[in-house]
Amino acid sequence: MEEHIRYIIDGYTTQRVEDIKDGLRSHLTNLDDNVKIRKVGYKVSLSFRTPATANIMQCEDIDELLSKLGVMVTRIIVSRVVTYEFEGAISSATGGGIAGGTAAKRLDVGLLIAALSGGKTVERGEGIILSCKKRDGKWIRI
Amino acid sequence: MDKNLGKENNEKIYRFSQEGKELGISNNVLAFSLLSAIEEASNYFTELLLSKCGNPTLMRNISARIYNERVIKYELFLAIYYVMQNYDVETIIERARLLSSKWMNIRRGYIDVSDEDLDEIETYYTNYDTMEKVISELNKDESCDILNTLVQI
Repeated sequence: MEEHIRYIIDGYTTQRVEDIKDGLRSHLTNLDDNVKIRKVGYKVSLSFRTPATANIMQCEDIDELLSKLGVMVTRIIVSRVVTYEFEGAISSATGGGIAGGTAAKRLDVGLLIAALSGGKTVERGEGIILSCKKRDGKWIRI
Repeated sequence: MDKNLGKENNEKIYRFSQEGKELGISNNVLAFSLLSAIEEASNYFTELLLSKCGNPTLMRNISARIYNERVIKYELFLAIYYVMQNYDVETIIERARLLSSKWMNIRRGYIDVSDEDLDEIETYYTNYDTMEKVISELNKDESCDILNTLVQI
């Protein structure tokens, strides 16, 4: 099991996704390969993680860094996450399966989290450390 | 948002689509309303989880991010459904992605909806009661774990 700090940032940009990614990597040297940037129109969502031992960047610092890369940040969420390999359903309560959804059993939460977080390597959120948004040019904690 | 309102909304929209069928309303319009019912159902499930978890920071962040993202609502609904079918994780992810993107296209009006497409959406919706039941059986920690992961999508 590995621990990380994940940053999720929403904003607007006219820059290319590749340029933002390269810029991020050159400013933050402690990032791993898990950098996700999704851009639809001018709206952009960025997500990256740093080691659990790294200093937690404050909203103002993140904003300053990203404005250098041409991203106008509107909202930031910083969470603690753990990653682990998903081994499949172990508990006996989940065995058997449900044909056509006719009988309800207990929901396999481990499997749901694995599916939502995107695969065999599960990243489970352990709680929000910091979240803020910009209002009238100032960062406020939400 | 009041969680009972979400429940009421999706049931009303579903009834509307059933009555619409008898009135001969086109498949595209019926699909549109059925998908709205699924979105409301997904909102309601999220509200259920939020009320169990009871973390105000999560509540504010989830409501800001999830309620604006239709595709996440579909993916959550489908993921819960497929987890209940006990599919393996890869199959769940693949199916949820494929179908939610198809539903997005239907919702945008890009696809002419066939009878089969309409039946498919309805079949998923009709599992709503069972899904509600399994979600309401989750405890506080499980609900928080799901939401903490959801907020990162």
